[in-house]
Amino acid sequence: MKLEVRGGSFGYPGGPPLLRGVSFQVEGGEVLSILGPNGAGKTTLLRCMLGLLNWKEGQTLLDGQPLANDTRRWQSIGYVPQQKRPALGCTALEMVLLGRSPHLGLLAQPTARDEALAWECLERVGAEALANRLCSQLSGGEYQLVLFARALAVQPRFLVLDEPEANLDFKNQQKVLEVLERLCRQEGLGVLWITHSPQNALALADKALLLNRQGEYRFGPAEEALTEENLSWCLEMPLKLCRVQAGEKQGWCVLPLGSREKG
Amino acid sequence: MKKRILSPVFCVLGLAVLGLAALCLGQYSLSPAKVLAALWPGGWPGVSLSDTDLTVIFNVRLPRVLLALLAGAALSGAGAAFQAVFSNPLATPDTLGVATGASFGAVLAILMGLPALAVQGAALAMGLGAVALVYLVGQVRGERTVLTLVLAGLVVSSLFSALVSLVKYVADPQNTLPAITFWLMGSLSGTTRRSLALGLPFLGVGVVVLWLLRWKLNLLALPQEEALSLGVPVKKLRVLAVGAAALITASVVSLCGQIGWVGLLVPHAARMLVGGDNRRLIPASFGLGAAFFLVIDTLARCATAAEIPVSILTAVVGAPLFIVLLRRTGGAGL
Repeated sequence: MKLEVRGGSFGYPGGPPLLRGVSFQVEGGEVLSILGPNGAGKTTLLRCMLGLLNWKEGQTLLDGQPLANDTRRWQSIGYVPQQKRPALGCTALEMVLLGRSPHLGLLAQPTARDEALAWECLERVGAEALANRLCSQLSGGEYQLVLFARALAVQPRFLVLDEPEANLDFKNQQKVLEVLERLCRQEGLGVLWITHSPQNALALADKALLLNRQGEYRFGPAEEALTEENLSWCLEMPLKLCRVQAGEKQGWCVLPLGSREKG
Repeated sequence: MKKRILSPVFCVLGLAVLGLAALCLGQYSLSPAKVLAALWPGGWPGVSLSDTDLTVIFNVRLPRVLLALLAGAALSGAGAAFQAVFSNPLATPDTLGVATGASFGAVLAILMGLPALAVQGAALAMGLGAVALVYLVGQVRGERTVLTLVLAGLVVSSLFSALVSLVKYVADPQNTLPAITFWLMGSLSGTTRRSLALGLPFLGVGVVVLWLLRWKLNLLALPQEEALSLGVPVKKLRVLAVGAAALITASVVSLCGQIGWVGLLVPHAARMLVGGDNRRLIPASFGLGAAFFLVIDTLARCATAAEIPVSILTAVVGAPLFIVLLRRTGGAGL
């Protein structure tokens, strides 16, 4: 179980090259955190990797095979894009059930088995209480869990998430991180996620990929890639990492030292 | 609880009773026994039927009742489908200019003095032509998004609406213009067995396709990237759903003129009753639309000595009903 990008390059038509020869790989049971400033091409990288956009050069490999360009690839990859609520009402359970789509033909209807699975996925992210609520009435954190459950209903081997904790309050951010960690450690899913928070990236990463706005990237095991020097390079501002410990818990705090324009 | 109110068996029984009542009602009134005896020869030995009875039932009322049921069901289903495809509660069967295009085809045929069946054919062809034009115009830089489609629909719709005005302007105000005006307001009075036989297959195909796609319509309502990432062939599915809904709209306009409100109002009423899941919404829209349109058409032909155009009634009866429903449910399901 290995998802790999080899020498991926991309630029929008008429624009400068956005990604230049990016290579990385992630295996089942691993978390890859992707960090970068606005406009560095993080979401574009995910889109290219998933075949929603076409690489100019390079390719995506799943278990060593080029990623199929048909709907089959969505049977092994669950994608959670940035939150956008649909305009028409549906309940959380109905939303999760849509995750069964890659396994059902064009005219097929979901069966009772699919419904049971959708319910189980809601339970796995701890959101079964939301099942019959309308998606339009859920809070941002609740809806994020529903989107997780929908991606799980695909029964994927890799989970790809675009800023899953953006716009959530502090507690909900922790909840999202905990759910991701559990899915990865206990269920062996490979997780790739984009985040804007270096602190969250430090809290949950086996590997890290840092992009800057010049189309350069740095990739490696989390402890080697997420250093003060690399984070400053990527986020274009000096910062300090502090190791903190509280009882059993330990982790990193990130102290920004002011943006470069000022200093 | 929601499911029990609108269980399929209850719906079909209710529609059958409504249909039977509609067959009895009218200027020439018939007893339920006579209607049943005509529909089931030999089942009711005590009832004798005159030739007039049989003509009224089989040549006049039955085609009209069947058309009202099917057109109401199909138009409401098409409305629900358009709302899902465009992920917009304000979408109607005319969002892509189908109804306006079909109207132009029909009024042009009326202007040229063509027979009724030619008017029907011209409406159907022009309605489908309009949606094809929208698909052509809606492709911008190789991309066809919901937004470009809706904009193209707006443009094509106003183009055809201008052409309809042009036809009205040049039409003879003594006899052609009234015929055009009456036709535009919608009526089922022209229904014959032949026109029904010509229009039925198109309506039937549209209804079956929408019914088969009902769950996938939920996926079309998602943002496009999410739908793609759930393995949905978005373009193919959209063409299928829009095609079926356009086929329905063009056939309905070709059979009974422009019918306002049904395609917008009934899906919303259904949504308030059964929720937004198209697996239930599409069948509920079918059932509710059939019942609503049959009641409207029966009112249109029985309420006064002269026929009332159905578009007027759908608005006059539909608007207050809709408001009551909105108040009762608080817009649930949206």
